[in-house]
Parts: sequence; structure tokens; C-alpha cells
Amino acid sequence: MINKSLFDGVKSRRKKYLCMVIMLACIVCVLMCLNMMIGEKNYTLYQVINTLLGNSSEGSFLIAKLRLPRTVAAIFSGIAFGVAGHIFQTLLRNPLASPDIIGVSSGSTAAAVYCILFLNMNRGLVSLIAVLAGILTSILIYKVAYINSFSANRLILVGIGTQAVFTALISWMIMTASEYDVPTAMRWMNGNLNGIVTDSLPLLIAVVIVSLAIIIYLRHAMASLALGDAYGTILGINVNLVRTLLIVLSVALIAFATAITGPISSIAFLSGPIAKRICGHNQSNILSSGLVGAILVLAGDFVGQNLLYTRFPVGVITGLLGGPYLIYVLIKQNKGGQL
Amino acid sequence: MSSNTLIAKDIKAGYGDKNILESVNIHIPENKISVILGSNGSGKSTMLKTFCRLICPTAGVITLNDKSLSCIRSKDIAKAIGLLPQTSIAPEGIKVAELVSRGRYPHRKFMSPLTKEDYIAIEQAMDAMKITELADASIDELSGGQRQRVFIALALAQETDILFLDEPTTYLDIAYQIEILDLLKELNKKRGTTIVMVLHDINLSTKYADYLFAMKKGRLIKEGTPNEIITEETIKEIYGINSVIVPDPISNNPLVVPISSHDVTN
Repeated sequence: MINKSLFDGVKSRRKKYLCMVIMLACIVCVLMCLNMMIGEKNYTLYQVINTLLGNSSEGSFLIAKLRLPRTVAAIFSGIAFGVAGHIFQTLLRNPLASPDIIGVSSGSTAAAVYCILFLNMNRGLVSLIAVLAGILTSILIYKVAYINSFSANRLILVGIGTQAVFTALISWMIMTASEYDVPTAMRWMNGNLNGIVTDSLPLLIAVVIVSLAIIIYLRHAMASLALGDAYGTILGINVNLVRTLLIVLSVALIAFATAITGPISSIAFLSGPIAKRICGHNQSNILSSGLVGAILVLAGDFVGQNLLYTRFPVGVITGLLGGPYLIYVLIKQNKGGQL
Repeated sequence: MSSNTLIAKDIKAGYGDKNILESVNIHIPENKISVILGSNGSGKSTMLKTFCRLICPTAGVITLNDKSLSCIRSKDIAKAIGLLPQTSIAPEGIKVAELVSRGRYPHRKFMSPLTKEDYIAIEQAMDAMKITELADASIDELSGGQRQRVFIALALAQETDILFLDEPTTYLDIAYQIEILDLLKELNKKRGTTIVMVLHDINLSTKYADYLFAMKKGRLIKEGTPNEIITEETIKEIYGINSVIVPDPISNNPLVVPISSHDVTN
């Protein structure tokens, strides 16, 4: 018969994970309300709800046309960055293997900067090209890193190299562009939520929901793959298919989110590890990483907009968190001899 | 006792363009413990990996109950053949019970939580490896021997009739080596699990194996029971060393005493 107490731990850890996910979702809701209420002009929650329901026209432009798209974009791009980063880190078994460090988003950024600086494109078109460039960059990195077989370490090294090349390209473009256009490009590069167009949001929301559903469906396979390719095969997983599918979905998440908000620094890199710290290492942490991502973007934007002497794009604030954490990971891995 | 018949026919396999195995024919003895012997680079690990689909053979076929492995669904193979790889890396911070439960993957339906059968299999696996008390311990806190038992439990939770182990005792001290091999012997006796191992220690091999395979330069050169194949000539042929074979004073199995060049000159 089943030894009940043997699995008490397993069950309580599962329960704790669910509680934590609900708690994180509540924090997202609270931050969402705060971001809707507070700004240049403050409204009460009651006023916000009434305006959104169309019962009142008070501040309808500010609330419905500016703050709502901004908040929705913050939540969904946060989820996209958080989940995609977590999947990369899990599949490549390295906390450094986040898409913003291994070059996936740098391709999008370089393409977007080029379009803004030299082609003077509008935001919608820039987004589309950024998505395509992000996907192409990922394919390029994967192809270059794939020699006979897949190797996580080779992928990370090729990615870091790609990142460096694109960063150099971006600097070169900024140096040669006309001064007038540079601030627009800089704002985009820092990741920012200003001037989000409502039209672009449904696509992002659809991509996030569909990708997330497939990723959650594959979560057991992902957990087994985290033990290594050998275990994946032994346990009966079609390793190449599942890994390719997960990476394609993550790249789609990153590319679409980057296209709309720009590469918001450090969200992909930080969300997974924070989620693991809060929720433990025993669950898939897919939802928790996404929610942590949303919290970081919402909180970063709140701080950047309201709490400092001047307004900063959200990427500047979240970037400040990422730097120290990167150094911490490097020191820790160096001590463990894993680098 | 159910038995799955696993046969390799004319297998050639290797890494990249280089073939390491040259036309190997092996019929895995059902419900027995077999050990593959051979010097470094003789192809024993490659053979194990080919059986477990980690390497795709360039020629020949491996059949499970007369069906080619390439024609069987991956998950169904995973219900019949398990493997403890040479090295296993656990995700940082994972608890023992959760890690062992990952062995249930081929039995699980998508989206559904662990079932009662899953829990029973996990419990039996942990019980067999005597790690029940460690259920809530984090894998990072365990000793080498404990970790190895956890990974064997993961393979046991998979409930396969055939279990391959690639050097399960490497890096472990003699006490852990005996402990793990004893647990495997018990498993073979109780459940009839077919066990195939690569071991470096010839004397432990003769002690635990019912059947031995000897490989050299990618070919199978001898097979049979320890008493049949452990001779001074075979040891010379496999490893290129001189030795004296004496009966093990306890079990009467053949015991290989290697002769070093210093022994000769003295």
C-alpha cells in the first residue's frame, strides 16, 4: 500500500507552489490597479473601473487610451520575457543562458534601430521587422552552434558572440545616424512602454496565450529534458522535436514582446531564478516565472514613472537589477567551477 | 516474470563518421545479470548507448521482442528499457521524491497529475534503493553513493524489464560499490529484472554476473558464464595483461590476480 507520509512532502510542495502562483497573480493585480490609478493625475480605483466600463467619461483619454494599453503591454510582455527566459535557462541548464544574454533579442534590436534611424519607419512596421529579425537571429545562432549534434555550451558561446556583433552594429548605427533620430532609437533600445498602440496588443496577447498553453502542455517533457538529453531519450521523449518546439515558442514570445516594448532589460534573465527562489525547484515554474516577469515590468514602470526625479523608461530601472545579479551568478558559477 | 527479448544484429555504430562497433551480435540473456567487460575504448559504453537509442546504429538492427526499435513508439520502448547513464546531472535544488518521480514520464498521460500506480512505483523504487528517508532531502545535500541510489531509483520507477547501467560504481568507495551491486542483485532476484552493466572491476563482475560479454576493438570476442570465460588467456586477450586465476575463497567464483612487471622481476 502507499506509504502516505512518503508523499506528504511532494503534495505539500505542490500545494505551496499553487498558493505562491495565486499570490503572485494577486500582486500582479495590485500593481495593475496602482499603475492605472497613479500617474501625472491620480484617480481612485472606483473612478478607473467606472471609466473603463464606460459609465463615466472622467479621464477617459488618460485611463483608457494611455494607461490601459501601457499596463496590458507591461503584463503580457513581462509574461513573455519571463517564460521564455525560464525555458532557455532550463533547457540549456545554465542561468546565464537567457535570451537577452545569448543574442536572441539583440537581432530584433539591431533591426529595429536600423529601421528607425535609416528608414524612418513607423512603429507598426518596425515591430514586424523586429519579430522577423529576432526569429532569423535565433535560427542563425542555432545553425552555427549545431555541429553534428546539439550542445548547450556551444549555443551559449555562439550566442554571446552574436550579441557582441549586434551590439557593435547598433553602436555604429547610432554614431552615424542623424542626431535628431537617435533619442527615438535609444528609447526603443531601452525597452519602454510609452506610446503603445492599442492595435498591436491583441496579437501579443494571442501569442502569449497560445504559446503558454502549449508550453504548459509540454511541462512534464520539459522537466525530464532538464535532466539532460540522454534522460530525455531514455524516458521516451522525442528530444529534438520537443526541444525545437519549446525554443521556437520562446523565440516567438521574445520576438513579439520585443517588437512592441523593446528589449526590456533583464526580465528574461531574472524572472526564472526569482520564481525558483520563491516557489522552490520542484515544479515547472512556468506560470510563476511569467508572473514574476509581469511583476518586474509593472513595478519597474511604476518606479520609472512616479518615484524618481525624472521619468525613466522601464528598461533602465529593470536593467539596474540585472547587472548585480549577473555578477552574482558569474561569481557563484565560478566558485562551483561550472563556467 | 515477464521477459523482453533484446537482440542486436550486426550492429555498426560510433560517433560522427567513425565506427566504433564492428558488426556486433548480442542476445541479452533474459532475467539475468550480464556484465560487459573490455578495456578502455573497446566499445562497451557505445554498445550500451546503442541499445538505449542514445546512438543510432549505422548498420544492423536492434530488436525488442522481434520488432525493430525504430518501429516501436518511443514511449513504449521507455516502458521496457531503462538506463543509468555514466553521469547524471540533477537540476539544482530538486528534492529526491520529485526527482525519482520523473522516471514515471513514459507512463504518464499528458496533463494529468501522478496517479496511484505512479505513487506505488515511486515508493517501491525508493524502497528498493533504501532512500525512503531521503524523500524530502535536496539532491545537492547527498553523498555520492546516495545520489547514485537516487538515480537508480529514478530508473526503477520507470518499471522496465530491462535495465542498463553504465559504470554504476565508478567514483564510489568499496562499501558503496558492494551496497549498490547487492541492491541490484536483489532486484534481479525479486523482480526478474534483466540487468546489463558495464563494470571496470573484473572481480566484482565475476561475483555478481550470471553472464559475461568481452569486447575488444569494437567486436564481441567472448561470451559465457564467468566460469567459462574467465581464463588467463581471455584476460590476456582482453586487457593484454598476465594474471593468475584463483577460486574466490567465499563464493568459489574465478578471481583474477593481475601480475605486474615488478612481480615478475622480483
